Amino acid sequence: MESKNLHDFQQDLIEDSSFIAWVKSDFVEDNDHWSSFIDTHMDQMDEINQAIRVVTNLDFAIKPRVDDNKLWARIEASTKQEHTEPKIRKINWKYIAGLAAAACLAGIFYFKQGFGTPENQVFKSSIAQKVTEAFPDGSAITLNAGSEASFNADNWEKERKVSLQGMAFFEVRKGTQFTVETPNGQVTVLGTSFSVDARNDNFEVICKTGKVAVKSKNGDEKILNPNDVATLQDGILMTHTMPKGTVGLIPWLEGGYTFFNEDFGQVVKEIENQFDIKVVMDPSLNELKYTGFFKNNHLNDALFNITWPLKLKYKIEGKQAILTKE
Amino acid sequence: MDDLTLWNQLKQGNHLALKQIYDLNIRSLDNYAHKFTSDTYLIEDTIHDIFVQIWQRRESLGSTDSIIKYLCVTLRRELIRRVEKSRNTVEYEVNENKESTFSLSVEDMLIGDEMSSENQGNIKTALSKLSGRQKEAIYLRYFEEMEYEEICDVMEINYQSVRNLISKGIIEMRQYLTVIMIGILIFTHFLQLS
Repeated sequence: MESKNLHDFQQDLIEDSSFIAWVKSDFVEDNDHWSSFIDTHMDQMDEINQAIRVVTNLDFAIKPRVDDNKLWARIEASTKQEHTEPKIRKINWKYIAGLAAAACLAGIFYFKQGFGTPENQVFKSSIAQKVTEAFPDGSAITLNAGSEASFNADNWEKERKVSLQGMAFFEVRKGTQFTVETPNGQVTVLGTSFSVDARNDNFEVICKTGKVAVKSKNGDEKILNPNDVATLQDGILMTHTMPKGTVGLIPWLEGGYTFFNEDFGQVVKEIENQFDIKVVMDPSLNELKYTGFFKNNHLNDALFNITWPLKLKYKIEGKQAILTKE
Repeated sequence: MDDLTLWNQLKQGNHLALKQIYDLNIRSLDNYAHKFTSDTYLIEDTIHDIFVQIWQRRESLGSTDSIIKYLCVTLRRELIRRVEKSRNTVEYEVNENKESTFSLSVEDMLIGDEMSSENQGNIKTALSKLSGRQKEAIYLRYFEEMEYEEICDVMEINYQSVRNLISKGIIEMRQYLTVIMIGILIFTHFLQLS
């Protein structure tokens, strides 16, 4: 049994700042000091070794739980507005009259901004890029390639409303009603995660968690439970449940794109979007119907997947893919 | 760049300095905050508010040569306040047992079967003897590598109390910590280096 003396040789070492730094830095910091310390304390090597073991084992479990990119996006949104403003202070005294007038204008402008037409904040993703951003309340949006979402940040606390063009996945924090508006319909939820596809004439909503209310532009309404999908087909809102094996996955978030009897032109457009290339082919091919899928990680595999069922050939030339009949 | 310079950059309105302070400290804050609550939303909100406040009040901030200490003090105070407040309103899911979330990595190792069951039992007993405050002080000392004076400021207790919390905690743990894994490896490693 070891002594319970509060301050013996070993305990002093364990509590010493320089000793802790030395051990924690893998014996780099202050190494000269501790090397010579050991030379002069060879008889107490066991004690020193024990002290090293204690400090080494006093390691704490690190489990990152906060999503630091998302949280930073939120902090940036809350601090950004202000950080463009300080320039005004640098203006010379002789501009004071002008400054006063400017301030006056700014006042009116602000007034108009606050109570008239609010300026919307925009999240955007370019071609072949997926972007995750955060709203002021911490709700998150992941935009698929070539999509855009706008909302009013100032009014966010009162009304959580987003206009979407393109395709996005939402993770909504609990709170007031959250609305996504698209040309063909709107989606309302309280707190949940779901995906909205509003590219071109599409309107498809996949519910991942929680409950989602979907309303098409002609007034059809459906409530979705997890893994339910609502699609607009010939103007009618249809629902189905995700096929087995894909439950819980939002296909495009995983990098997969599935098509059912889709115009080949649309499929090609999606390839162009995902890989940032130009597809060259005879316009007559646009009318073909394609059923299948591709993943957005390898261009070669993707082109193979979309061409072989239709008996087409493909060739990649730099930033171009050329499709021809076999 | 040292803390003093970085902090001054922030005070002068450099938004990149705010970003850098965030990047350098977010993992520590995340980790430390989870010792008080398991509610990640509450933690995110609190860290968000602290950084926004630092930015808004940057011109009137005092100077500091230990940013992590400043952030830990603020985070600890604010989190405890909010957790307590939410206890009354039952709005958040609050972790009743603060001690259980404060885990040493040896506790995680206990789940694996690297150690004999006898040793596992010994370590569990030793850990259960440590109070939440002892674990917190040891965490700040041996993980964040803070000086005693800094720990005083963060935990808002006096110097002697900090020393006692740590000394007694270490003595409690010592005999168990020396039996774990590492063993003879350290000494050979050390010999190679010197």
